[in-house]
This record gives sequence, C-alpha cells and structure tokens, in this order.
Amino acid sequence: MIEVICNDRLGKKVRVKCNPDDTIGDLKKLIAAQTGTKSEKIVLKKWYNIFKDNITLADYEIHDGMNIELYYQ
Amino acid sequence: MANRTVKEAPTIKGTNPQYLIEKIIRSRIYDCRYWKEDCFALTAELIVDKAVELKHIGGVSGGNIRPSPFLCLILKMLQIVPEKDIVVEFIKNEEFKYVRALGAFYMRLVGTSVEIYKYLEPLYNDYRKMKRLNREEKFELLHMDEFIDELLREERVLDVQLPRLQKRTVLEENNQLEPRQSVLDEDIDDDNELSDEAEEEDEKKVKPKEKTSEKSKKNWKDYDKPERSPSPRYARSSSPREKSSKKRRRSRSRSKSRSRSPTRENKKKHSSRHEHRDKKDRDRDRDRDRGREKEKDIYNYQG
Repeated sequence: MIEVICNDRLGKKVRVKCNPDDTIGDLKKLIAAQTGTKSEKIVLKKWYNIFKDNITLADYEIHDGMNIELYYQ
Repeated sequence: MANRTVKEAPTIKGTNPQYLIEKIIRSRIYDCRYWKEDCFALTAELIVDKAVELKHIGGVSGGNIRPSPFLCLILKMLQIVPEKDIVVEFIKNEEFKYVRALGAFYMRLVGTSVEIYKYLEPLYNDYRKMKRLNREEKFELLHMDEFIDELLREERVLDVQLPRLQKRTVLEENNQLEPRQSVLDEDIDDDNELSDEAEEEDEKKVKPKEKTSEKSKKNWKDYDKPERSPSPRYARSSSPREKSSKKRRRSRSRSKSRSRSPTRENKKKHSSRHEHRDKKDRDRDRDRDRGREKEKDIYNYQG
C-alpha cells in the first residue's frame, strides 16, 4: 500500500492509500470517496502531464509519498 | 458578449439556460475550435445543417477535455433557445439519427417531466446503432433506445448533469400520463397463449444471452402481467405449433406418394441421362433434409 498526496492548491489536500497496481481510474475513485467530488470530474496532473485513466500507478512511477496535482473538469 | 444567451430566453430550471452545462465544461466548449469556427452566429435553421453533419455523439474526451461537436451544438441550442416545435421536429425526424439524439438530449435538459416522457418514450422503438466517443477517445457502439434509456434513468449523461425528472409512477397517479404501452406488449401476449412450461425451460437457456441485449426492456413494472422478461422472437424456441408443422413437412417429403406422382414420372422420361442420379438423390434428399431439420432446431435453441 502506498500513500499518495493529492493537492488542488485551493484548500483540498488529501492523502490516499492505494496499491501500486491500481489504475489512475481507481485512484480517482478513492479520491472521490475522500473529497466528495465525482470521480469523472477529477483530473490528475503533474505539471502539464495529464494522467490517463487506464494506466497503473506503477507504470507512471508514482511512488509512496508523491504529490499529485488535483484539478477539475 | 459573444457567448451570452439570447435576451428573450426564458429561464430554465430557474437559471440561465446555458448554466445547465457546468462551468468548467462550458469554458472548455467556448475555447474549442468547433465552437469558434462553426458555432458562430448559428440560428435555428443553420443548426439543422450542422446537426445533419454530426457523425457521433459524445461528451468530453481525452486528457485535455476536448468537447465533442455534439456537446457544442447542445450548448448552442441552449444559447439560442429554439422553439419547442423545432425541437419536436428534431425528435420526430426519422432520417438522421444524430439529429434525433440531439433533439432528445435537448428536450431532456429543457422540457418538463410530462413532455420528456411524452416525446422520448416513442424513441424506445428506434433501435438504430450510433457511435459514441467515450472519455478515452475511443468509439463505442450504442443503440438509440439505450441512449434514451440512459437519458431517462441516469443522472449524468455525456458529462452533463441532467435535471431532475419526476418518476413515472408519480405522474401516472396524478393522471398526467397514461401507463406505458410497450411495443413488446403484443409479443408478450402471444407468448402467454402458448404453453408456458416448454418456453420457461428454453428461456433459462437463452437468458444469459438476453441479459446482454438490453434492447427489449420495459420502462416500468406492470404488476398485473406475470414476471417474465420479454425474449426477442429469434431467440425463442419453436412453439409446439411450429414443431408440429415441421413434423408434417418432414413426413411429406419422405412419403412414397411423392415419387409416384405423375409429374415426377414425366420428369423421369425427359432426363434419362440422369436416371441413376435421381435415384441416389432421393435418399440423399431425405438425409440432407433430416440434417437440415436438426440444424434449424439448433439455431432456434442457440438464438
């Protein structure tokens, strides 16, 4: 289980526990469960790289303790 | 200035009609190329031309949240607020299915509950296929009646939050709507006339396939009729009536009287070259037909 920190710089900062083999889509659902927004509305980015829903965290090399930017669509 | 709603527009659901689409997606639509190029200064007539050119339905897609032309046209319609007659024309037209989908979606956003049920339920009978562009920028197949079903059931379709729709039962209790008449009602009545047991057994075999095809789905539960999902005709097993007719056919082909008929003898006179062939063919025909009968049954069972 790794812990990923998602910050939208507007007041929402959540720490989400997930597995490295979870996809980004699963991570979005976990974030949605914690923040209350819908998972379809969440966009995860790192600078301008948008993370796609069907690729796992391990493939994106997202490790424990990494910060991910939270945006909305 | 450029993206304001028409002045005379009535407020819909209490707000500016354009606000039915959420702020972020609305901003994405205003910034996208299709909106700037094609949706500039569109009127109701010109929208028809644009709608006819639509090739797929879709919400936003891709990493950069690109809105589809369908969504842009919906926002344009919300901006100009066309007359209800025009929207009903869009829905009623048979030829262009994407125009129909556009009209249906707009009606769902803007219409009252009674209107929505009144205009969208006939579209349940339309089973044409459509393309939908999903979030991952892949096309998927969708049937028109599945789309209408989503509009009437789901809360969020094509990335637009749909306004609240009154439950059909509530409207029926208030006598604002008639109970739903499904086109499949007649099929179910035919079903009930024939023997129940044989069909129930076969339906159990066919059920896993039926669950995948949501085409023949009733909107509401009719407590008077027995609980049974209407199976499409091709998937039903042959009724006893049909089975008996097949038996009759088979016996006719096998009967000796056929070979003794005068027409057959006449044929024999003419084709003496193929005499030996005919004799063999009779047996072959019988065997061939027997195999064919079995194949038909298999097809009926497998649907």
